[in-house]
Amino acid sequence: MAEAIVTDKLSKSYGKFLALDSLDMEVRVGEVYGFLGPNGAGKTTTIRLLLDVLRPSGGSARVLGLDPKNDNVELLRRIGYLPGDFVVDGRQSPRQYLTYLGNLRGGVAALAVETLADRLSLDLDLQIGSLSKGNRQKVGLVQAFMHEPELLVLDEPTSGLDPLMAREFLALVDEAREAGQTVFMSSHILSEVQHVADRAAIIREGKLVAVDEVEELRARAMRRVQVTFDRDVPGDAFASIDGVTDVVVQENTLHCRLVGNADGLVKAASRFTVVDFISEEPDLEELFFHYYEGDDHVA
Amino acid sequence: MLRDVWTKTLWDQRRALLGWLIGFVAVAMMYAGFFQFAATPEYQELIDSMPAGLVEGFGWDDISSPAGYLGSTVYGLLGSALIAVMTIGMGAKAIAGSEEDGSLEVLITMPVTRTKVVIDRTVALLLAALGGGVAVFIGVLAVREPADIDISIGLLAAASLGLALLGLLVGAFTIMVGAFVGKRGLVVGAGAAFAVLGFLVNALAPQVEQIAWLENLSPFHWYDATGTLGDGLDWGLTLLTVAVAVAFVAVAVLAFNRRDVRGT
Ligand SMILES: Nc1ncnc2c1ncn2[C@@H]1O[C@H](COP(=O)(O)OP(=O)(O)OP(=O)(O)O)[C@@H](O)[C@H]1O
Ligand SMILES: [Mg+2]
Repeated sequence: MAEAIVTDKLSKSYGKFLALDSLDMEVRVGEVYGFLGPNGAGKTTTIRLLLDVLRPSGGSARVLGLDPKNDNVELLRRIGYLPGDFVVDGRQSPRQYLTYLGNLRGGVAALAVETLADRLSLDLDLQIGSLSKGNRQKVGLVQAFMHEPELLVLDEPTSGLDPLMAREFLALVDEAREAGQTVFMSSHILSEVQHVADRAAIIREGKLVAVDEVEELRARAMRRVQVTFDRDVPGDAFASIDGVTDVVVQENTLHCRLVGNADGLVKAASRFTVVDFISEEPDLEELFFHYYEGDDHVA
Repeated sequence: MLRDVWTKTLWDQRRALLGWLIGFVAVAMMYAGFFQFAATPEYQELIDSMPAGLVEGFGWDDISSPAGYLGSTVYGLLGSALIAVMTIGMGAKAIAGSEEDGSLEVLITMPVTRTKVVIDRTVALLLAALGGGVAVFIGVLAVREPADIDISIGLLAAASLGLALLGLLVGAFTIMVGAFVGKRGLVVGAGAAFAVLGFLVNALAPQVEQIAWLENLSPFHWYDATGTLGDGLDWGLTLLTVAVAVAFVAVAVLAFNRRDVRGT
């Protein structure tokens, strides 16, 4: 089995609305796979189909070589799943809840729970209801990782986490990969998965629009750049630089879009005194837009 | 308590359940204790002055005998309504409520079948209903002698079991509706409608000759607390009650296995 997840024309409609349209996707065993898309793209829908929470309207999926519906229990034993909206009854402590889930899994070492909670700075003995959103999300992360599953399916795992914890989470993902586990995680932002993911898919309006090595996606991603100088600069100074488009110069500030290598832009800017240099990753909508319309912009 | 789905279900609701049990004991003691005042000529006069249909509908026609009194109060409308409210609440939470609040998604993505989730939640409901029956039994037993209730302990236990099974039936119906639709409000409404309709059919149908047979369809008729307090459980109807509850749960399992679970 070389594929952890394979979908074949997987589709899902809610009434008349087609939320997922013939998704063909392959996630290899042992890789970290980013599943990117804007709000409403169909990420959660896809993930719920893989776990048999939802039933496909068309097509099919195999996960770890198993059928999500017919081999449900066997499959779920080997998966760690973090739902996109992780909800638990607040009138219990993380320790009680995680013990319960561990028991449903046939027992999970208390040490594994302790270690994960420690790394994520989660207090296991407070009432879950009294925890902040981010700390509640950590409970969800611990239950997904605690039994060291072959496959981790994580729906927006960093939602609610502060940057420090998001980094710790990425470290967990890295270690999972080292240990041979497969990780499938959804996100809105490329930058969030780019450091850990091997490959990423981009989905929009229920359709897969791109699958590539993260490096490739990254190289083709468009950034918004704003450079401020100590005095007004001439507009034509940035007119024809490789990868730079949509140049607008207002007095001492340059706004433009950049695809790929920043070298040309930096060198052009360095002819003036640079006060500030801001490079911002666009939201995904814009990223896809350029991914497709991309070619003439890149040129 | 954290070992399995049914134990956890009870554990999560322990405070509410404890409240219910205390309530059942208290209500049973209060109403059963009141019997000594009901078995007086004055009270019988009051009942006699009420419209006959109403008296019959609520089963007050035999209010001065212990079986008639308990069967129309503790084990009558009051007891059935209380246990139905409890099991409708639990039944609605079992699937629809957890689905609506989002916590069901985690549970069904654990390595347990959906069938087990339905059955475990039903077991929790059954135990709660039996607990309610035991609480009523204890309450009545506590005042049996001082209140001059001349009914054997065995018959009281039988009526309490009947009450618990009525609760189970209403709760199982509610679970079944939840297995089809994940909307808690709707499910509570359906459970309440089932209970009220069952009660009304039992109370009113016998008063109209042409539709009197309809009472045979009502679980409240099968339950017949006054009859049980007099002659013991009708095993055929008791079995029927359990069988219908089991059928509801079977349908619930089938329905829940077939459908999407909607998250929040
Ligand atoms: N139960 C439902 N009934 C009707 N429409 C739904 C339902 N669930 C999702 N949708 C619709 O399907 C589309 C895909 O939703 P989905 O939750 O899969 O998106 P997503 O990519 O996870 O978005 P987000 O980033 O906001 O979590 C959306 O347009 C959403 O409104
Ligand atoms: Mg989502």
